[in-house]
Amino acid sequence: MKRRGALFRFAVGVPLIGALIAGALFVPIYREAVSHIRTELRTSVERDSWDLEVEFHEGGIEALKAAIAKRTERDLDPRAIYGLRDGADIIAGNVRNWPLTRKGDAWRQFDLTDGNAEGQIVRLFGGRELLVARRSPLQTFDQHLATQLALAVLAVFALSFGATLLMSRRLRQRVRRLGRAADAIRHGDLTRRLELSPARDEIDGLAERFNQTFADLERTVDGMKQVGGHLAHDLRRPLQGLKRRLESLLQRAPDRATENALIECIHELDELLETFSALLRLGKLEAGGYALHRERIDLGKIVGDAIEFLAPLAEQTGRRLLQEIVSVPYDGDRHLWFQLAQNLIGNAIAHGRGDIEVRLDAEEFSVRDYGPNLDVGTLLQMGQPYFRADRARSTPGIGIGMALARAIAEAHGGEMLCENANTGLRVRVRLKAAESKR
Amino acid sequence: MRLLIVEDDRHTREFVERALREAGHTVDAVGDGRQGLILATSEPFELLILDRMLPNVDGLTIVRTLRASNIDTPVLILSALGDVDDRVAGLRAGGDDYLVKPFALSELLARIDVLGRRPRGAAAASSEPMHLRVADIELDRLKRTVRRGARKIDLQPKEFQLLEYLMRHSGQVITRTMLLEGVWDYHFDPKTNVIDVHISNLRGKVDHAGEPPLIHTVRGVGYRFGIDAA
Repeated sequence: MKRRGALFRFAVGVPLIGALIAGALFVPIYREAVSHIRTELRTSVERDSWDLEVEFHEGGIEALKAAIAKRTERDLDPRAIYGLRDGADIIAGNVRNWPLTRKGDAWRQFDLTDGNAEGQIVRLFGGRELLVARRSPLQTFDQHLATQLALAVLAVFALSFGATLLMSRRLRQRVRRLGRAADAIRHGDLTRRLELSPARDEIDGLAERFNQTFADLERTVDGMKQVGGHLAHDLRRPLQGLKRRLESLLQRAPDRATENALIECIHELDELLETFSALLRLGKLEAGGYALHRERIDLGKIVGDAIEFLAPLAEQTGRRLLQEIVSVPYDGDRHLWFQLAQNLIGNAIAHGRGDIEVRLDAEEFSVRDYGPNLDVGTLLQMGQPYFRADRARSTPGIGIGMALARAIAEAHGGEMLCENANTGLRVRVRLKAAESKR
Repeated sequence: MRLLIVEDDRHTREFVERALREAGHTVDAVGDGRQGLILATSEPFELLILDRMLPNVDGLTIVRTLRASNIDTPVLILSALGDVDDRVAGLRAGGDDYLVKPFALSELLARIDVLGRRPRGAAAASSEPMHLRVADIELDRLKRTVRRGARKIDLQPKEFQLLEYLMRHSGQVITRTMLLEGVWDYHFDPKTNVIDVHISNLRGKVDHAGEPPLIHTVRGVGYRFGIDAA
């Protein structure tokens, strides 16, 4: 699924805001322009009207008519409208019908048969009326302006959308690259670092700080690994000496009883070493210091191998290992998965009762037995290191097997759950954890 | 066999050296990585036993250097680092076998025996016989059948592999871990007694009453396959 997160919102949101700002800036400019045009218009009409009144006063009605005729004939201003009315008759001018006034008294807006106009009507001496007006430029101006505004807003939106899309795509690519590197680090490749771009911007600054953290982490884990290694070395050496001595004693054992006792001792020593290496492995897995050897594997095959390996043990006690397994292609560490399957099945053989059911499908691997139920507290604690359920106390085995299984499941991005199966224990390993921890 | 041991821990080195001499091998032993590398590249050894953590030049570097200069003397790596990823790293570097400290002497001797007899390089692939025969038992790898004298033995697939491994190394002592790695091909910490159960099942099918036993238990060590009961 494609994730449309913050970057997508950014790519849409920024142009939207840009377009809104462009629109908002347009309104006062528009108002200013309209008022400016009105003033110009009014001045021109008033001056014209005054000139005509002067003509009337100086030369009477005929002079006025001539002046109007001169103006309309010469067509000085194609927008200019004149009219002279005597009663109901229009005696001069270029209006065919006396226009209806729309509003105002001194300054009026007129509805003409072909559009509208703005101007004034002056009542002359003798009852005649003089109309001087201009076809309103505001109508076309409004239309032009609306188109311009729409185009501008569209352009702002398109340009900034393109720019932010480009930016957010590059950003997303970088975030993805960083995410991949972080994933690799999380999966144990502690030497990996986040890639820095040549830009050396804030993201690089952040990445650099993360890299420093990773370097610290690597040093710590290395230190831990070394401690682990040294611990293994130091603790194993005395055990090694002990085992060697037991072995040479075994070769010179005087009788069968001593021989048996020595073999018993060697077995116990082996178990001690086993616990020890399981602990080291658990520690490493939990600290993320274990480099998973991931490859394409078939979980069905591995679980089948584990069942085949352990079946004789179950048969010894007259129990059956029932299986329902399908082939599940999976990227994982085959040795670790074998260990996981072996631990869970082995646990059911050692501590459970009745038949053992092993199931595997594309989502889940589960092992159940028909032993007694466990209380909730016990179930919750299962899979914690050193924890042993009551029923396990009386039987040999190491409490760390379950913890190791859980750590292996989690190292592969899965999770392990224990539940009562009425009656018996069911351990479920979900191949993918329910909530992605990313 | 002429062997070289490179191990910085004096106790282990002397112990292994003495044990190998007693087993009839000619042994050179050094405690330093650089010295070890010089010896390994200049003298004709039949087997090298390298500790992984060595002063100056570490064990894995020695193996890589040898392999890079086309010296394919078998190498057994000894290490206190016993986890699967350590082991994979060791074998990837060019090691032939990997033994985790502390090891039982018998385990070391058994592995040296097997490594020393293993055919090397290209010869290894072509020399796998289709037919194995030990005493009166016959195993056909192609038809996947097993006969003991006139008696046909029915085996499960894993039992077949187990028998094949034992027959291939007949006369040699085979430890439980060698069986785990050789037959199951997983590196893990097994429940110790599982292998014994598998062997006992196989024994029930191979060695019937009245026949001379072929699968022998070597107490405290492992098993040996063959007619002589030592």
